[in-house]
Amino acid sequence: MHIDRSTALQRLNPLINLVTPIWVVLAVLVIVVALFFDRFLSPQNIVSILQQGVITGVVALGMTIVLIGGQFDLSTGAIVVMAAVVAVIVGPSTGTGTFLAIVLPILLGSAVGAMNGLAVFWAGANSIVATIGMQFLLMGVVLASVSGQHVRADNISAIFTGLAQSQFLGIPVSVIVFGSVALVLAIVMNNTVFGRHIYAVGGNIETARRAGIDVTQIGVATFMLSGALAALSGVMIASLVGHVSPTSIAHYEFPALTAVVLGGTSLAGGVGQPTDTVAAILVLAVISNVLTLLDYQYPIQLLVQGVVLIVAVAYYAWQGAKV
Amino acid sequence: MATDTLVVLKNITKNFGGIHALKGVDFSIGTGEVVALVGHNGAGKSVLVQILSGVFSPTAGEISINDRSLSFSSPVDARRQGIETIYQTLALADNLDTPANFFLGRELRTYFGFLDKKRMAKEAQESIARLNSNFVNITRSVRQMSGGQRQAIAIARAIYFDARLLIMDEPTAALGPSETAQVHILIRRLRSEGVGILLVSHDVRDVMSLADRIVVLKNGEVVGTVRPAESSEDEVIDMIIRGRPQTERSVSCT
Amino acid sequence: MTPTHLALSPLVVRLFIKPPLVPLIVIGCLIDGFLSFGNLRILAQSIGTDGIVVVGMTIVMISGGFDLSVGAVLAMGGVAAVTLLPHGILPAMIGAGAVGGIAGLLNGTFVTRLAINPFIATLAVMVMVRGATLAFTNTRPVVSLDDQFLHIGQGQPLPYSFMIMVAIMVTAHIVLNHRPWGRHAYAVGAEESASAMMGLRVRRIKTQCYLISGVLAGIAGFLLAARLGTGSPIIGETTALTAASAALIGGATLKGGEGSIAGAFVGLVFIGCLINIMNLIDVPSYYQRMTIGLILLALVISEGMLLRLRQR
Repeated sequence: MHIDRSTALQRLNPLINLVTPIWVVLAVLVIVVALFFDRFLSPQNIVSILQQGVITGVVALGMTIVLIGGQFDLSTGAIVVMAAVVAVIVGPSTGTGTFLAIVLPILLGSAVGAMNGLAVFWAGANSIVATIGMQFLLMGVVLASVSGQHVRADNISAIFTGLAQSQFLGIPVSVIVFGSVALVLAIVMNNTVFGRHIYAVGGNIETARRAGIDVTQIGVATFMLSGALAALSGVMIASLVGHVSPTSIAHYEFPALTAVVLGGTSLAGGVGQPTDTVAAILVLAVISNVLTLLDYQYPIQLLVQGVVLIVAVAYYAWQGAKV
Repeated sequence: MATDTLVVLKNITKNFGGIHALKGVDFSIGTGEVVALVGHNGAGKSVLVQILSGVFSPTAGEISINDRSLSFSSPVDARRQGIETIYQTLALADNLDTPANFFLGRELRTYFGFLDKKRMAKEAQESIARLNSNFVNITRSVRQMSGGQRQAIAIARAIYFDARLLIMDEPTAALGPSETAQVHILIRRLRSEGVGILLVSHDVRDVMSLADRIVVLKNGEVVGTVRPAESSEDEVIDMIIRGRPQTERSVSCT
Repeated sequence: MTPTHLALSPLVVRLFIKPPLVPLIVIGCLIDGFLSFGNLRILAQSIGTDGIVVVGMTIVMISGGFDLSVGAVLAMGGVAAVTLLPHGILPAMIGAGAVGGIAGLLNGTFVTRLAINPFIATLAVMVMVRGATLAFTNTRPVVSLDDQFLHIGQGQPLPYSFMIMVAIMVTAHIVLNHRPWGRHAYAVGAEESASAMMGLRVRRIKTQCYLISGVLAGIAGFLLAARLGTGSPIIGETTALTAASAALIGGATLKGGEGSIAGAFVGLVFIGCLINIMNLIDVPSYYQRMTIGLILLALVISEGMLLRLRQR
C-alpha cells in the first residue's frame, strides 16, 4: 500500500487505489503514442495490445501478490508451459473435457505453488533461487512427460477456444478474465484480513509472527495463488493456439517481473497494488506495440525491457522506497 | 503497592542446543506491581521475555497466572492470557497505517472476512487519544513517526486489549527525555490500574525510580532481587556485573 | 549448533557427502566409455570453461552478491571474440574480457550505487546483454574457421581451457586466502555494516567482485567459442545456475561471507561428471536441467533449514 495516499483515498474509495504514478505514465504514454502513430488507436491494434498484455498480465498479478508477501516467484514460466500442455492433452473436445482442461492445470499450478511456498516459508529457502530451481525441475518433468514432443489437441470444443478467442461486447474474453482477476485481487488485498496479513508478512515477517499471524500459511497461500494464476495463463495460451510446443513457449517471468516492479510493488515486500500492475502491463504492452510498429524485433524488445526494469527500480529507489 | 500475585515463574530453564540461556529462573509479578528485569547483554533477559510472550516454550519450568499453571505455544496463546508485549524494535509494521498496526492479528471484521476499517480507525484513534492527546493525525504513515509516538501506539494497543501483564522491552532506549518522561507517567498510571508490568531495561537509574522490585539476571540465573527503596544504584550495578550483592542480605522473593 | 558427534574430517565430507564425488566417480567407472581418453577430454573441456565462470561466481557470492548474468555474458563474450578475430587472437580475447567487464561494471553499479537487490540487478543485466547479443548477431551464430582459434579450443594432453582454468583458480585461491583484498571480500559478505565502519570500501570491493565475474565470464565465452568454432548468442541458459550450484556445494552461501575456490571446484567436477554420465547413458537433455534444478533446490532448502536450526 502506498501509505499516505491509501488511507485518505480509502475513505473516498474503499475498494481500489488508483491515481498512482504508473497510471499517469500510462495516460501520458497513450496520448503521446497516439499523436505519433495513427494506426495506434485503431480497434484491431488496441485489441492486439490488450490480448498481448493479458497473458503476461495474469502471471504478473500472481507475482504481485507473492512479492507483496516479500518473496519472488520465478517458477511461473514453467508453470505456464505445464498448464498449457496439460490443457491440450486433456483434450477439451467435450463439455467435461473442457471443464477439466481448465480446472486441472489450475489445480496442478496451485500444487506446484504450494511446494514453492513450503520450500520458502517452512524450510526457509531463498525464494529466488528456490523458484528458479523449481522452474528447471518442472520444465524437465514436463518435457520428459511429453518426450520433448509437440502436443496437439483434436476437436477442441468451441467453449474452450472461446476462452481466449471470442469476444464479449467487442472485448476479448481473455481480457475480461484478466480484468476480473485484477479486480477481485484488488478487493481482497485491500479489504480483507487475508490481504492485510499478506502486507504484514511482506513488510516485517517477525512483527507479523508476533502479532499471531500464521506466516507459513499466508506465505504458502500467496505462492499457491501465483501458481494458479500462472496456470490460468497457460490455459489461455492453449486456448489461443490449440497446440503446444513445450520448448517454444516464451518465458513470462521476466516481463511479468518488470511489470510488477514498474507498477510500484516493492522488491522488499509489503508494498504494492494489483491495479498498479495492470497499468504497468498496459504500459509495457504499449511500448512493445510501438517497437513492433517501428519494426524492432524480439531482441530489441528484450533489451528495452531490461532497461525499463532498471529505470523503474532506480526511480522507486530514488523516491525512497526500499528495493 | 503489590497486592495479589499475578504471574509466577518457577524454575524456568531454556536451552538452545548447547547453549544454556536460562537456568532455573524463579520470580513473580504481582497485580499493580512493576518488576524490573536487569542484566548484561546476553544475560538472558530477551529469552525470558520471549518465553513469557509465547515465542518460545521453556525447556523446563512452570509459568502460572492467577495460580493456574499454563503453557503457551504461540504469541496468540500468551495474548489470550492477557500478556501483552511491547518489543523494542518489532513493535510496528512500517508499511501499514496506525489502525492496521493497532489491530494486527486481531482485526475487526464485517462480513466474510472483510475488514471493518471505519471501526478500527475510530477505536484506535480514541484509545491513543486517551493516552496521548498530542497524537492527532492517525492517518500519518507509521514510518514517519517518532519513537515516542510508536511506543504510544504499542502501549495503547496493549491497554485496549486488556493486558493483565504488560512486558516492556527497553521501552525508553530509543527515546528522548520528554518522551521518556511520558512513558514513565504511563507506567505509573497502568500500575495504579492494577496492571502488572515487567520492565526490561539496561538503564538502572530509570529502573530505580520506576520499579517496585528489581530482579538481576546474570548468565541465565537470578543473582538477586532487591527493592529500590532498600538498595542503591551502585549495588544493583554491582550485582549486574559481579553477580552477587555486595552486602549479603536476605531478600524476600515475593 | 551443528552436531559435532559425527566427527568426520572436512576432507571426507567434501569428497564423499557434499558432494558425493567419489561415489559418483566409482559409478562412472562402471559405465562404458567414461574412462576413455576421448571422454575425459570432453569432461575436462567443459569443466574448463565452466570452471572459469565458477571462480567469478564464487567470488561474487563470497562478497554477499549473486550474478545471474554470467550465462548471457558468456554468450556475448563468444560473439565478441569471433567478431574481433580478424584483428587477431589476442584482441579477440581482450575484447571478450572487456565486454564481460562492462557487464560486470554495470552489475556492480546497479547493486552498489542504485542499491538494487543483486538478483534483480543481474537479472536485468542478463536480459539486456542477451537482447543486445541477439540483436547484434541478428539471432544467428557467428562462425569462425580460423585454425589458430580453433586450436585454442583443443590442447594436449589437457585442453588449454582446463589449464587456464587451473591457473585462474590457483590465483583466485591465493588472493582470497593470502591477500588482504580476499579477506576484505569475505568481511564485506559476512558483515557489511561492520566492514564499512572498519573503513573497508564496501562499494568498491563489491563492484570489483562483479567486475571480476564479468571478465571471467567473457574469457570463458572466448574459450567456449574457440572450442565450438562459433559464437552463439543463445548459449549459457543454465550457466549461472550451474555455477551457483557448484559454488554452493563448495560451501558458499547466498547470505555471503563464506565459500572457497577448492570447494567450488569439487562441486563443479561433481556436476560435470553427473552431466557427462547422463550423456553417456543417453539421458535426454531435459533431465539434465531437471537434475540441476533438483540439486539447487536441495542446496537452498538445506541452507535455509540450517539457518533456522542455528537460530532456535
